[in-house]
Amino acid sequence: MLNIASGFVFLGFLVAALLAALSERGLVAPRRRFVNLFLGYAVLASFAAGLSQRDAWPFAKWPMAGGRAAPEYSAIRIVGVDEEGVERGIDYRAWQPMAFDELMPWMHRTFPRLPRPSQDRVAAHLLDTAEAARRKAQAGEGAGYLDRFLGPLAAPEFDLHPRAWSRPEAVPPRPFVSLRVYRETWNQEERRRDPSLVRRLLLYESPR
Amino acid sequence: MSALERARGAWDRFWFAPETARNLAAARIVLAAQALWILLSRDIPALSALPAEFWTEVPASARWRFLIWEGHPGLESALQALAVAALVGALLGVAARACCLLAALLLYHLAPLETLFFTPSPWAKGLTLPVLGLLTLSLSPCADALRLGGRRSVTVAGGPEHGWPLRLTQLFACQAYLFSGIAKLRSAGLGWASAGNMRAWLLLANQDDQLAVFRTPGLWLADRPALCAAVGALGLAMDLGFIVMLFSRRSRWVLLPAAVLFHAAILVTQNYAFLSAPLLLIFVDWGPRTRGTRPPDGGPATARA
Repeated sequence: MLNIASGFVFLGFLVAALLAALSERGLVAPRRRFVNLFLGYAVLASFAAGLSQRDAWPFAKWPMAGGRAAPEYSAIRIVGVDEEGVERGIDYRAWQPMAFDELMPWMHRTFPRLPRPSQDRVAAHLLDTAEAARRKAQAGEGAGYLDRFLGPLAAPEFDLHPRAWSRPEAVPPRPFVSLRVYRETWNQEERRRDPSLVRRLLLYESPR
Repeated sequence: MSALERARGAWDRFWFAPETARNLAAARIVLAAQALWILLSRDIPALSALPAEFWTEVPASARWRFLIWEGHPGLESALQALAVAALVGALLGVAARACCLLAALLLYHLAPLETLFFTPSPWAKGLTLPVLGLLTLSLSPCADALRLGGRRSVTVAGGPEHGWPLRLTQLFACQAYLFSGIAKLRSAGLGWASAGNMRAWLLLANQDDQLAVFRTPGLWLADRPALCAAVGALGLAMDLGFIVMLFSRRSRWVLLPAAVLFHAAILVTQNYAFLSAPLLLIFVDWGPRTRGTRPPDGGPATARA
């Protein structure tokens, strides 16, 4: 429902813009009235989204760091497993073109709800993607490819992430043969006192 | 004079105060450059080729809203190429208004494609303000200055038609801060800025080894309650006070550098990169004012649209 309403809000913005454009050519008049209509619509739509905190992108609610930070934290971690059964961390760039910032929340929310055959297909895709990135990084060509045009000036993700595979010697030496998906949880204060206090739950392991 | 007439007068003075053609043109360049920066740092069309399982929970209404149907990476690549061409045109001021319009419409389609498998709102991805800003600029004489082949005599002209589009674009940028402050107040009240909540946010942003690049500054800060409370109050004040720049050019001398510091501090203490930060440049005064005109805080407009 919100999608439909938001779509119409943007459509209204386009109609108001069209009327303002037509008024410039004298096809509707007076000009000032239609510029005011466009301005009024833009102000109303954007403030409605922001003040109500109901997103109608591109009229966004901008909820940056809103709310109280929860004392308990939960994160998804995907690790690669090599043929000897050793788990290896995966550089965030390995998932490109997907952003880590969307993939991990999706793995947290949607992946567990998928039937097992669908999970296996997703895992097979992710395994292929991660393994291709591992080979590329091992060859010294970098783990991702989104810096292909702008190099070090390429835009980062909203959340910064450490570049785990920035040096070839940091790249896992053996091919990944499967993936494991963990949910890690911790209490922020407990972890501050002891960084090892992380609880790990295996959510999924892909077939080899 | 009735309240309605006073309100109408204030509306006119605010929106239709003259502006230089150069400042409006600078906004065009900044918005186009920002959008190009993001597009060239992503591979949005490739996301159309994700396996079908990724799209299982995307509602039909979201697909229709943005005209996105997965499985067409070739088509999306063509649309992105068109968007890049339009943004280059907007950047250079070549067929600028048509290019701004085309770029805005294409970005409205492309930006959500990056996140749609998880969320229909790509607000954090850096293309929100270019969509709104470029569409607004397409209605304006945004290439009267700073354009390829432009004559210098034209570059210092300006008037009310250069004012309202720039001011609306600036309002959209201010809203990112204002609504962020409102979100904090609505969800947590003034307690959002408490030392305890700031510490909790800092711990959240610095203890996950998959997210944190800079850890020492944030954890150092988290262990100092007085500084946490000060940072919370300053952050909330920045969010809610940023919009003052829209009404007072003089305030920009303080608020613009403060905003740059604000984003730099968030980057190193919380590991968040606000990708719209380059758009702060649309608040900079890039050139001489139109002769006989005044800024929005300097009194009534001398000309009308």
